[in-house]
Parts: sequence; C-alpha cells; structure tokens
Amino acid sequence: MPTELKTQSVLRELPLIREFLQTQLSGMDHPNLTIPVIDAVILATIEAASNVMKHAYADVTDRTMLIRIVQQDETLSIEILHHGDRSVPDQPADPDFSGLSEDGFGLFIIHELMDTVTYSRTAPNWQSILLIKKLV
Amino acid sequence: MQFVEDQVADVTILTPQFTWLDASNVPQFKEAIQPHLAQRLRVIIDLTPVEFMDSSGLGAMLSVLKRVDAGNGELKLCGMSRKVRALFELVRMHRIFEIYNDRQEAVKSFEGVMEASE
Repeated sequence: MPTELKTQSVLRELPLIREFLQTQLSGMDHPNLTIPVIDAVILATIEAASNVMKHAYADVTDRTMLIRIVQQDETLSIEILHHGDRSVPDQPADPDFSGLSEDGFGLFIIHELMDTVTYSRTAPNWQSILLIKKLV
Repeated sequence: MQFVEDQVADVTILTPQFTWLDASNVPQFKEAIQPHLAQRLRVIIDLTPVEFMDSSGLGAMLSVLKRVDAGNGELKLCGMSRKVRALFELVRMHRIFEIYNDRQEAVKSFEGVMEASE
C-alpha cells in the first residue's frame, strides 16, 4: 500500500517533503533500511523534487506534485509525479568537482545514491521520476 | 536566518542558527551571511547546528569560499554531522574545503592564532 504526500511545486515545501520522508521511512520495518540508507534516499528525493520545481515546472509555484513511497521486500521506491516538462536527462554528465562551479551536482547525487532512476510518462499530462533503492 | 558570531583573536567563527540549508533557504543564507564576511580574513563556519544540506546548500558554501578567497582570506569548516560530511565526500568537496572536527581544531589550524589569543 503506497504512502503518498500531495504538495505544491514551491521550494519552501522541501522541508515538509523531507519531514514526510523521514517520518515514513523511519517507521518502516526492514533490516537494511538503516539510517545511512534513509539519509541517502531523503537526499536523492529532495534533489529530484527540487529539480522538478526548478526545471520541470520552471519555478511556477502553484502546481501539484505527488510523492509516493512503496516499500517491498527487496526494494524501496520513491515516485515523484508531476505535470511539468520532462526536461531532465537520464544520464547526467559528471559535475565539475574542481570547486569552481556552484551547481550541477543534483543529478549526479541522485544517480549515485539510488540504484535505478527512471523518467516516464505514466498517464496523460503526468510525468514520473521513479527512484529505486535495493534493500538486499 | 541568523548567525552567532564569535571572535578568537583575528578569527571569526560563524555559527548558523538554522538546522537545514537547502534550495528552500539558500537565497536567505547568501543574503544573511554577507555582512559577516565583510573585511574578515580568517573565517570558520561551525556547521554543528546544520542537520541537513543538499546540493544547493553546498553550492552556497562554495560561493562563500570564493568570496573569502577573493579577499585573500581563509575559510574553514567544522562541526559537520555525518550526514553533511557524506554529502561533501560524495561530490568530492572535502578536497576543496578545509574541514575540521570542531572549532578548537579549526582555530588552531590558523597559523599564529593560539599565540595571539593567549
């Protein structure tokens, strides 16, 4: 049974999303859902949600986003559903690690921390970013 | 968004009075920290209160580093939680910043500070 949060496409909602994830993931019973794993999943999800707000919705702040969590025996799935553009590449280039660039780390972080990242259209006008973490 | 500012000899220690730094509050962070950096050559940011940071927050820390570097100053960080440290290591920024366990270590790392403060 998925657990879901409906939120707005505005950056000030990020702490609410983080709190939702923290509460839900901390309450799940799985031996491999350790604190570092929970921290990693939360960071990846915040990066993805932030990208949706800034890029897919292009900073339009009154749109809807859904964050859906599904825990199964071997995986933890976080799905972000939105009505914005699918403007995010599947395979990000490595960011600039020299310290000269202040951005460009988000996609790298998401792909480093999660096992699978899938972008798709799930229904008319709905885009999905599915983040999967293996729990085995 | 506020910082507590402490002074040890000529070292300025800034302690954020907020528990997260992410895309939701980075603009406020950048604005709030500016006056604390003016004419400061030796700066430590004690991140002990910061429980969560994302890539936008890390980018904001890089902007502070550039600002201090541009004035020929030195910036050091300390008090990182395991979670924040993991982010810095993931994107290799632990090689860019000088990071210490606590403010005593960070202060000590500035040449000549202990003598001056005694």
